Amino acid sequence: MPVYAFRTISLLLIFSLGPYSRAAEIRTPEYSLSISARSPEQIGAFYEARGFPEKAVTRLQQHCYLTAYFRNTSQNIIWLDLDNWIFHSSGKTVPRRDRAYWKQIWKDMDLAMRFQSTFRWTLMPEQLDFHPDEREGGNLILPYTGQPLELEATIRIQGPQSETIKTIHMSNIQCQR
Amino acid sequence: MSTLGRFSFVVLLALATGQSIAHELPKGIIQQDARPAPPLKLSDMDGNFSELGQFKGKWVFVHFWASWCGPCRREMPTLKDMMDAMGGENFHAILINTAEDEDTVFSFMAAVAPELNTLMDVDGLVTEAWKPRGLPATYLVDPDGNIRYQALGGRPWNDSAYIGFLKKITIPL
Repeated sequence: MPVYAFRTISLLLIFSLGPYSRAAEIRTPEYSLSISARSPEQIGAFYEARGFPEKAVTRLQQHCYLTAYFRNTSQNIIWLDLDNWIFHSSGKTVPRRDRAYWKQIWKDMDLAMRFQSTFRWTLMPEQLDFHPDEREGGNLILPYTGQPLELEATIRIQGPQSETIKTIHMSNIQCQR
Repeated sequence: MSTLGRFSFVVLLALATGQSIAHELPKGIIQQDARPAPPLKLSDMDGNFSELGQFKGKWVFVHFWASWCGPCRREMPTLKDMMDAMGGENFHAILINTAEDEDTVFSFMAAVAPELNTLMDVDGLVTEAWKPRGLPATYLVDPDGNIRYQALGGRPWNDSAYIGFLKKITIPL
């Protein structure tokens, strides 16, 4: 099998919302959000195909890996800030492993810069002003839990005269193992 | 025509021109306050260096991409069509791969857009400096080296709306 064909398959594996992904989805007139859990096999296929060292892939596979897609379907700017996205499980907050967390992990692991860069680009942006019709996706990484997760998130919608804050609630998000 | 009349005509013409450009931005193109483009000096897959400054006097289409990014894959063939339509007199396109190795990039380009070449941002630091919203990311840099427009995500660059827009802004004043 040609190398590029294998990479295409791995690309499709990680980014498709196929039958092996458990997707939660919300659609409103103003925005849509979907969150899909990735299996360790999917995570491994993607990063191994990009040449990531085994120790880095293994570290990632120990986590709960969620791929989020957000789309602004309004005519206004929507502000997203992941600091306002809180995951809960069994009544407790599950802290998101943010860029600073991974930067330290990769530094300790002496991971090559190109892998660190690729990894960062696969993460959901920390803050972004979504323009009308803009869609961006990326991964959210949490400590693994076997219990269902809930997400409470707020977004700011900047109207012509005023700004409104909307709360997003998603439940029954399940990490894959 | 009186002096006031000529002045009013010029002002109205300028306003009309400015408004028409603002109103005719194709979907997903946003205008930005002019700011100097970050440094860009990279080599391509053949080892030839390019830097932004050598294209001063032209509009430069700066496009960041990666093989793992689905929209990048869909967009790449449309870039070739757009480049063919634009020619090179007042316009130059630069593709920049973000942090992938040569084997990956070569395989991808051979399969998706064999006639295109790309600069290689091997460690991803140039991409970081440009602060894209995500990948793919496209910036339009004016002949003075200022970023003037940004495209949101992947765009069908061979569509007449995008080519028409690019031709419009690259007409020399």
